[in-house]
Amino acid sequence: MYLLTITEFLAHLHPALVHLPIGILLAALLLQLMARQEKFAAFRSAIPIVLLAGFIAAVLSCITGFLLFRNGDYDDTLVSAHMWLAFALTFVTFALYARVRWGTTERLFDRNGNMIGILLFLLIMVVGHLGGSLTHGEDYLTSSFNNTPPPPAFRPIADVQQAAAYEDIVKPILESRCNNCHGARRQKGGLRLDNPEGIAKGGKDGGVLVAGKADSSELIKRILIPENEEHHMPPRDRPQLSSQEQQLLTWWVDQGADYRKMVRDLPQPEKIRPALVALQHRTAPGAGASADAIKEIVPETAVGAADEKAITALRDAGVMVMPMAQNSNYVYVDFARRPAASLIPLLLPLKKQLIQVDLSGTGVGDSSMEVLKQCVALRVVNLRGTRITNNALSALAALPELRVLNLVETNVTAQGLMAVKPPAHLHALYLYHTRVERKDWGKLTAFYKTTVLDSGGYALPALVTDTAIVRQPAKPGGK
Amino acid sequence: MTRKELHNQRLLREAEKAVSRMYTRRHFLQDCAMGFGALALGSLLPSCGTGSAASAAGPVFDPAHPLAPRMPMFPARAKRVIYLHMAGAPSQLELFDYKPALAGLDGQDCPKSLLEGKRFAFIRGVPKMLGPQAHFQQRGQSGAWVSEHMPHLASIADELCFLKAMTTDQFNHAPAQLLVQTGSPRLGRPSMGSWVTYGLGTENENLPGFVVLTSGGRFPDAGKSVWGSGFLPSVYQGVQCRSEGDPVLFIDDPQGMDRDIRKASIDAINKVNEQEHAEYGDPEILSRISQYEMAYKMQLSVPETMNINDEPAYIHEMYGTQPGKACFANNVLLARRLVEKGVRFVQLFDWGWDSHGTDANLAIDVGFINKCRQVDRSISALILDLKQRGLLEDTLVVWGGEFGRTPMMENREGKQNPFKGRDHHVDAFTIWMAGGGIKRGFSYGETDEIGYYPISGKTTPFDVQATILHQLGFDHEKFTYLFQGRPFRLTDVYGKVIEEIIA
Repeated sequence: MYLLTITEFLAHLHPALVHLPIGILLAALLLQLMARQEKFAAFRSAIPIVLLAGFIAAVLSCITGFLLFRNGDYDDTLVSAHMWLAFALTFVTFALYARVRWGTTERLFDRNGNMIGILLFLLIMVVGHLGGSLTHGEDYLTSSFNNTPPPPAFRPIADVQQAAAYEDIVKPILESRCNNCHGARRQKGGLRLDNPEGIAKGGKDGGVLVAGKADSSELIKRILIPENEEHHMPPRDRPQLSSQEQQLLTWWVDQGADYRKMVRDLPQPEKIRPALVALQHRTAPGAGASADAIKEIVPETAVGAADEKAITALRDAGVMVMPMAQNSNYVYVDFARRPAASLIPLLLPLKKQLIQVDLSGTGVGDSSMEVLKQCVALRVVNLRGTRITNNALSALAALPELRVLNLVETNVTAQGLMAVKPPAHLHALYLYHTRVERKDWGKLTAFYKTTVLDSGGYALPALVTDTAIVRQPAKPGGK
Repeated sequence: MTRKELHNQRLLREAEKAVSRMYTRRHFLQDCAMGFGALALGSLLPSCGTGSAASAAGPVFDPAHPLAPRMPMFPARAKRVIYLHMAGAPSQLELFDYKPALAGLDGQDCPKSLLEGKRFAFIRGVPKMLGPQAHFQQRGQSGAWVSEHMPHLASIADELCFLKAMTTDQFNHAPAQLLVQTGSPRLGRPSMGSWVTYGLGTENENLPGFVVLTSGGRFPDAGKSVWGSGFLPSVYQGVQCRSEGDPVLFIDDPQGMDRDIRKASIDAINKVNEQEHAEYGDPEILSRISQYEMAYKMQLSVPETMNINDEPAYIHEMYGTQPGKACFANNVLLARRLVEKGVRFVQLFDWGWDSHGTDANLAIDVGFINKCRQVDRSISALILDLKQRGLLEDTLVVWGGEFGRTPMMENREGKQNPFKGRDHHVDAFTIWMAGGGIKRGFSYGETDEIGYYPISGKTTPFDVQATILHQLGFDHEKFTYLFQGRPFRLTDVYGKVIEEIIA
């Protein structure tokens, strides 16, 4: 028992110990390089002892490393390259040492001595890198270069009731959140979650799943305890499960953790319904709503910088021109209720960058729409309180990316709105205080099938409670 | 490097940054240009005094144009915020967090297990449980529970997003209000509105970026610090306007002074200030000049904006306003007028929600109901009015108190209170948000059967702040201000964006 604990303790020294041979041997190689010159000849006598120290450190690292490997947290194939090259490194170190110890110091600087030195250097680099990749993950070193999120592991689900509970819902969650450390490549704590056998077997400390009892399942407990608890999984600095993902896993375990059943065959308490339905709209894991939402605000593709002169001209006229975000060339233009008819042509140089424009209260009319029509990147257009009429609508409807259109307090009519083809992406159209008549509303909403139309004109009923004052303790339900 | 050395280095850097502000713009740009590849827009230049990491960080303070509009870090879902703070903390158990099981426990002694290790503001000994003092119904398509006390709000429940498992760790009003508004229970931090105007400036050069309106006859317990600017330049503090009398004190020119004379005197003062600046280079002087100019413009713009008499009758009817009086409904209508004119952050405080049961006004079955009726109509009108004007697309409305109320009836000093009331409760309360890219008709988080502890979807004021900043286009972890040798942020070291409620 103690023996086991001691070997585990020694094994855990490996990540610290490995830095010794790396440092000592690099120092030895540096001395070897420098001592070639007469100026540094005095270093020569130091080289053998430094090499010996490096050799001993390398041997210790090999032993502890082997113990760590035996503990079984890591994947065999990945470790083997690191291990065998480390053994080779130790041997080469010894060879170099032996040349001096049982030969002459000069043998360090002959052709073979140089070759061994270079080989040793390369081995240190490769073994060190492989070891680092094992500890920190293969993508750790280069992670700062590729900011692109990992490709979606989720397949979109058309009808969640027809989906397989494990294959389509549980497995993708485990894949994206857990398998990096508990998968084929690494099995931290002896646990792998990438297949049913692994989940059933559990980890070093026993089973992780009690079918039908999420409360007693370590797998669920660990993800539900607060993020700053030591035992919380995934570890704090790793991508976390969303609350819906947590709910889905808990639900699956509570319903028996079955690997074959379809969603429709499992009981679905009221609480899990929203999480299940949400799967049908899901696009990418973890990207969450906000990444998708941002795509809705600005295009994913970058655009060149807008013409500085055009921006200055607009700003000089008192118009606000604001980039949509730092590091973005897309802009938002607000005319701040200034008479804008004569300023509108200044937008043309920005037509590729212009995403949102606020022309409310600027007095622009139909003639200004010719310019807007050319600003094909426009997504949000606010024409509230302007002089535009039905004649403006064909230009506006031709904007291919239009999402939100505000026509409040204008003279457009239902007939005008139905004479144009609704823009494909339009999701909100504001029609408060327009000439759209109530009787046409049904036809209009049918015509704009994918758009939320807002007629405005809301009123709140007059209620007794608006003015009545309670003076005595009131019974619930009384007035 | 030791901690002390690191700290000293930061202080030095901060001092250097302060000095660099005194340079002319040209020097400033020259100095920066060395390390910078892309200087897109000179006036929007990110701070360069704090090293490369700061290039992604907050905006740079330009003393000559402190309120100029600035861009967010990433594309924003919301451009402005209306925060309706119900000072005193309304009871979630009578409004949104329906607990039928609590009714069955009404009048029974509170179990020991709920009291062990707990400290309450007023409850002592063993209090009795108090069942919900309202009838509840599920409303709209979303099925959100809203009680009879807010019938109008109930009718628009599908527009709202409830956070039903809010928690805090402050059980007294002042620190709890500070925590909600400034991210710290102690004085001295900038308020949320100050951070937002510091980050985004204002879209209307004639109006302040951050306006505060109060009602209910009393200031919030934490005083004006809940809209203070803390260590941010003072130009970012909330401008408190009154809804009765002059909106800002002394805004009218005194008798005998006409606008031309006023203009001439301000020009003269600014000229002196400019000379002063040329001599000493202190950026605070530029701030002062811009504040004089702003004040002069506000003399016209504020009375015009704050005059609700030009609203049509049906709008007055919708909000239930009482023109000429200082009341919450007027403030709510003003809030809409202000955001419509480009004000970035409007904060409303309404006092009177502290339903302890010590007198009729503070009774959960008397005064509390009256408070609900006072705000119900105007808040519902605000949401609908913003919606029909298309403003709810990019205006975020937040409603809530600073903590919740206990499922137990308060027994002050161990004795029965004259009326039914509930004590302060930190572990669970409800707030809601609407618009600004937040999900509609959605509830997040739930509490246990008696509304005592959260059981899922627990959120904190820091999470709400992080989410508000996120909707405005800021990463709350990177939006910082260097002060006394360390970068400060609204959420301190806490907070997580509540992704689940973002549409």
